[in-house]
Amino acid sequence: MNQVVKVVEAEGILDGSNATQIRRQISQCLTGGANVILLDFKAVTFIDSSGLGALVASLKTVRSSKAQLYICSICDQVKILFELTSMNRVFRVFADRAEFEREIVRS
Amino acid sequence: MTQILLIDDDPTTRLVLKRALQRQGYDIVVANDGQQGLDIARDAKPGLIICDWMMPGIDGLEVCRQVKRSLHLSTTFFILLTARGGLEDRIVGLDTGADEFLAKPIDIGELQARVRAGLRISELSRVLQLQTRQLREELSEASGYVKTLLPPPFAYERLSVETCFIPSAQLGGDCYDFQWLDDDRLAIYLLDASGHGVGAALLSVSVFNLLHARLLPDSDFFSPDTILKALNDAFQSKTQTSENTTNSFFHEKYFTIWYGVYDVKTRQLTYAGAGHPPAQLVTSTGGKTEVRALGAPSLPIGLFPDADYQSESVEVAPNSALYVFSDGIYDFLTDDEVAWGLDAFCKLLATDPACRRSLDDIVKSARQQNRERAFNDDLSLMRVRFFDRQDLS
Repeated sequence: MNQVVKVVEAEGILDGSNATQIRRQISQCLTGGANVILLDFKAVTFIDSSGLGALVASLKTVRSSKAQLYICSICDQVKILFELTSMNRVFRVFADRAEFEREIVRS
Repeated sequence: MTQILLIDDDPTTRLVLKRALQRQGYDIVVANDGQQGLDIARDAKPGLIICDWMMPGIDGLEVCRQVKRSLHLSTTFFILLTARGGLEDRIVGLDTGADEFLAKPIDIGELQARVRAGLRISELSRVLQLQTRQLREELSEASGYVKTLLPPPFAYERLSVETCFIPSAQLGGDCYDFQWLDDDRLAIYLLDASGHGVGAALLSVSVFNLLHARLLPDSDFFSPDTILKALNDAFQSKTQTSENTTNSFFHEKYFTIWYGVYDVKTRQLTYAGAGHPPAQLVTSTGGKTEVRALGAPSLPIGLFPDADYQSESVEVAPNSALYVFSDGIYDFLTDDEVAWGLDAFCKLLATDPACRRSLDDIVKSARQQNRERAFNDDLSLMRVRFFDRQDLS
């Protein structure tokens, strides 16, 4: 199967309100035929509990479409949140976009 | 009926406008100058004010400024009458808070249309204000209810429990409880439902009720991991597929919890966490202070049906203190735009080895680190102090 990669970027504080926007973007990627989606959180400074809930919901949406969701470039706050909630075992997280491209993207 | 206040120093204009509006069936009060206008406005609280700009004494612009600054009049629709047609004047008027302008000489048809439009908006603002107040009252009532559920602090010769609870908005998703399961064993738990507001509070309260009444099937209340597993079975959040169902209450909702059982006879504390910040056990022996994190990383409750939870145990040394809390106490941005963090909070706890600082004082120290100087998330903090065993029979 052909790999169709799409990147979704977010910035600032990821809470209930702007997580909805990310969910919409992910849905658009899926309808656009993407089967590998990367969430680039380089500019995200903080994720709260609602934001985390939306990420998990997105992951389930992506998986039910037989696609893959990855995350890269998370800040310390997100790292700690992911560790405490075991999300680092649920999401595959890459240090940066380059690592994602090396590991996942087929040239 | 909505009243209209007409303020103009010119008797002819007053008369003409008053008649024109009265013919439309409006209740009109008139004032001859700015000061009288303000006095009547404060007294009568009209739905709409028509005010001449150019008046001796307090002019129309100043009347407008004072009306818009007043708590009870700020939503009153304000029409400025002006012979000044310049754009800059209109900008000054709008910036002062005027909602509409009417140029002199006044066209009666236009006046009546502007008043109709103004009253529609004024009515909408009034209804909105009323509903906001009702909503706030209901939230405060709900928040009062949550507070009645939470147990008061408690102390006896073997241990004491202190608590601190600060909901973010009025209503939050945090809850905690402690209760004796039998003569020797005390269950202690604290949970944090995702999000804020009514949804989070309802989820939090329903979990609280199940635990408090010990109504959870297939679980042993002495065994934390079975509690977490049973909760995870009972509270699976609906995702994606819920778009087809009418009830989407649990959509994307989940909670984190720390649950522990302390046996005063054996001094064993058995605990498990579900995606919750680890509780911190502060022990001071021989001048050395140890802060130990209790609780391994694990999935929150409600996100994944197959989540696995493990109980662990620790022997609690005399004169130790256990801090159980929600992430609101450390998970916020500081002035440097970075998160303060769990480590920083634990360091703060370590600076008080005897655990004598009041919880309010600890919360105050944390709040000073927050760039908002306030907490944007719900916060609860519990401290259990374990006393020396010498007085145990």
